[in-house]
Order: sequence, then structure tokens, then C-alpha cells
Amino acid sequence: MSSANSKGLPFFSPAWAAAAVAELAAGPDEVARAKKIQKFWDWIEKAAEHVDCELGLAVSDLDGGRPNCLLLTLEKGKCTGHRLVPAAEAQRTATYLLEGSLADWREIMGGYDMGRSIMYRKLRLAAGDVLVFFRSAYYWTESLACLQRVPTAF
Amino acid sequence: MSLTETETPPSPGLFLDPDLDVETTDLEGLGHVDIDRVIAYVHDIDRDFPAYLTLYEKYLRQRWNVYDLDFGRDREDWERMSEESKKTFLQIASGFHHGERQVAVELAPLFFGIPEDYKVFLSSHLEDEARHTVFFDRFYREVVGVPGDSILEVLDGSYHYISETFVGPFGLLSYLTDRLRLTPYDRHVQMQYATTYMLWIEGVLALAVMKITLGYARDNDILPGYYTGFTATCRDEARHVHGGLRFIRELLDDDPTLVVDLHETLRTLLIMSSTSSAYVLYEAIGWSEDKVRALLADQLERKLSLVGVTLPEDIREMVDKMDPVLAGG
Repeated sequence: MSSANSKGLPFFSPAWAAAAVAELAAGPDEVARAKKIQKFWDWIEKAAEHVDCELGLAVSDLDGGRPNCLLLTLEKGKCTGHRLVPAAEAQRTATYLLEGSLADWREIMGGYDMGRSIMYRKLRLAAGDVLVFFRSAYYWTESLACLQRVPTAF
Repeated sequence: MSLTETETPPSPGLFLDPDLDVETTDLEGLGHVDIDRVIAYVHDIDRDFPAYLTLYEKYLRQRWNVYDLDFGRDREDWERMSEESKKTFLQIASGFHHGERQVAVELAPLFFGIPEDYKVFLSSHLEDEARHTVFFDRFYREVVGVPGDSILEVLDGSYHYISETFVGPFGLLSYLTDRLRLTPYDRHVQMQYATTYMLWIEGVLALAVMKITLGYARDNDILPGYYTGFTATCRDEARHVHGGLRFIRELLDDDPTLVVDLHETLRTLLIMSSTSSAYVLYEAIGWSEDKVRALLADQLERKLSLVGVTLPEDIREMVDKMDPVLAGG
């Protein structure tokens, strides 16, 4: 695993959040697409049509009193809005809240496999319906993997 | 599949003895029992299911030592297998290498909210899963040649064989385990968890992988250490499935409306199972996609029949279209 880029955008800063949203909008790149068969991407496209929700991405132990959750508004799988908020707020309002420690986020942004990040609980579903969340499972893993392209400084 | 022309015939070693008793034979004997008989043994029960303490007593009699296995001939056979056969074999077997780790680490929270007798049996289930994890660790180190100073490092070495869709059932299990940890007495969560773990991963996926990879070893008279250990694993899984299905049946007897949770969990699993991220050349080990789908559907039907659950039409249609990840634990 590579470490995160030390010259990147400060993690969970407004600039980082904007870059994360831009990468989400760009979607999986050609390298990622080439690694999986078309049937897989077709499934994700179909799943995305049913993704209308607010997704919170939170850091459980972010220091400095900064907002520790990136709250994304998703409509048919596309991000139509975002804000940085306290995770406690997202816990009350988000459809789903994925939370990890700073150390785990550091590994994730360094390229740790996204499927394994879920199975090994580097990201935990702190709020939301588990069964419904997994009906779009590969949409989530491939979308979250796009965030790994954001150059990040910790 | 037959071995390719570049492969030389294996040395003699794997022969089947139809007189061996699946229930009572020892580890060495399991190396000579047809895997199809062991899979049939899983379903050789009535709907009363064995009592949890009966299953625990069976565990004490059937327990085997993973360090008694000899992989010497497996290493020779592995060298003789074609690259295509090795790749297909690892694409399927790695789902178990990682699956065993996953089901071992996700079991503990179930202890809190289940009947006392099940707690005793579950302690043996947990020990089984740890032993199965070591079995695959040994196979990947000693036969496939994956290096590593720890179980996790060897797992890292085989992770690239895992399909992206592996996270479907096993990620779901991880997150349901978290919910179970927080609410261990919640019957809805218990049902969702047991449907994912004991019915789907152990009862459907695992038995299919066993039949496919062990049938390949049997038909080609190769990998006797793998055949012996994985057949013993299969017999262990029978106890886990019996215990899990008994638990599901008890939940349903107490509250028949919990069938909604079983159905909703199956809907989620089948939605995730309607795609794959890579082609698997099943033909390289004597199977086809259609045969695998039929095998999985049959395994699901048998388990549902044992717990007395029927499926609504929409789920039946999903079963016909599934393309599940081949993994287990």
C-alpha cells in the first residue's frame, strides 16, 4: 500500500471536499473500467438509478474541531450537493453514514482496496439500512474508489 | 476437465471407497470418500434437525487435526497442472481462502442472543472456522507457494484472485455482524444474519465451491491433501448448516413474520448475485456457468425446504438469473 500524497489537499478541507465531489462526478476511470467486465458496469449503472439519498462520509477522530463529515446529496446516483458537517448531525439526518478512523482513512486514501475496506471495517455503516445499502453494493465500492484519486495531505 | 496434453498423469493416490461411512470415518478415510456423498450427507436430515448438543457431540467425534495433512503430493500435482487450470482453480478456491477468514471473525457477536445449547455448539463452530482458515493458509503456502509471515500476509497474496463481487455477501455479513454486536437480541437482525451466514454463505455458496473444486480433484485424481482437508471441512460445514437452519426454524416457529426478514435478505443477496466482475472459465475445470447456476439454485431450494420456507415469485425469478460469486466459509 502506498501512503497518501503529502503534497495533496488537506484532508476534509473545503478544497478536498470539492475535489472529492469532482472525482465522484467523473466516475471510474479507464484503468478501473478495464479491470472488470461490462456486465459489472451495467449492474452499477442500473443500481445508480435507485440511489436517491444522503451519504455521510465521516472521520471518527478528526482533530482541530473541524466538521468531520462530508455529506453528499445523491440523486439517481449523481452527486447534486455537498457540505461539511459534524458527524453527529449526519448521524441524525443522513440516509447512510460511513465512518472510519483517521488511520483507516489514511490507508483508504493510500489505495487500500475498497471492498476490503468494508469487509475489514475500515469503513463502518454507522447509520442506515444495511440490506438496502447493499442492494447497491458495487455502486458504493466503485464510487468510493474514485475518491482515492484525490491527492490528499494528512 | 481433463489434464492438458502437456500435463503428465498423476501418481496414484486418490481412490474412492464407497464403503466408508461419512459420519464416522477419520481424516484419512475422508480422503477416500466421494465429495458428492458428503454433500448428500448435509441434506440427510429431517426437519426436526439434530439438537445443538447432538451437533456438539458430533463435533467432538469428527474433529480433525489440520497439521496431520500431508501436501507433498499436492505440490507435485500443482506443478503438473496447466496455467489455465491453476488460474480457474484459484479464482474459485480463493473465495474460500478469504471466506473462511471472514466467517471466523464474524461469528462472535452471535453468541450473546442465542439459546444456551446453541452457545455450546457455536463454540465448536468457531473453532472449526479457525481450523479451516489454517487449512487454506497451509494450502496456499505449501502448494500454491504464496509467501507470508502471517495468515494475513498470505491472504494479501491471494487477494487479487478474488472477484470484486466477493464484497457482496461478505461485506453484508460484516455490516450485519456490527448490527448484531449492537443489538444481539434483535430477532430481525438475527434472522438477517443467519440467512446470510448459515443459509447463503455456508449452505449455498460453500457447498457449491466444494462440489466444483473437489469434483475436479476427484475426477483428475490430484491434490489428495486438498481433497482430504476440504472434504473434512465440508463435513464440518454440515454441522454448521444443521445448527444454523435449526436456529432459523426456531426463530420462525416463535415468530412466523420473521420470514419477511429472510425474504428481504435473500432479495439483497440475489440482487448482488445478478452480476459478476470477471469471467471464470468454468470449462477449464469441467463445469459451465449454467451448471453452476443450477447447482446453486438446487442448494438454495434444499435449504429452504428444510426450514419450510417458500419463495415469492419475484425471488424465484431472481434465482433463475443469479450469477453469484463463488466463495464460501
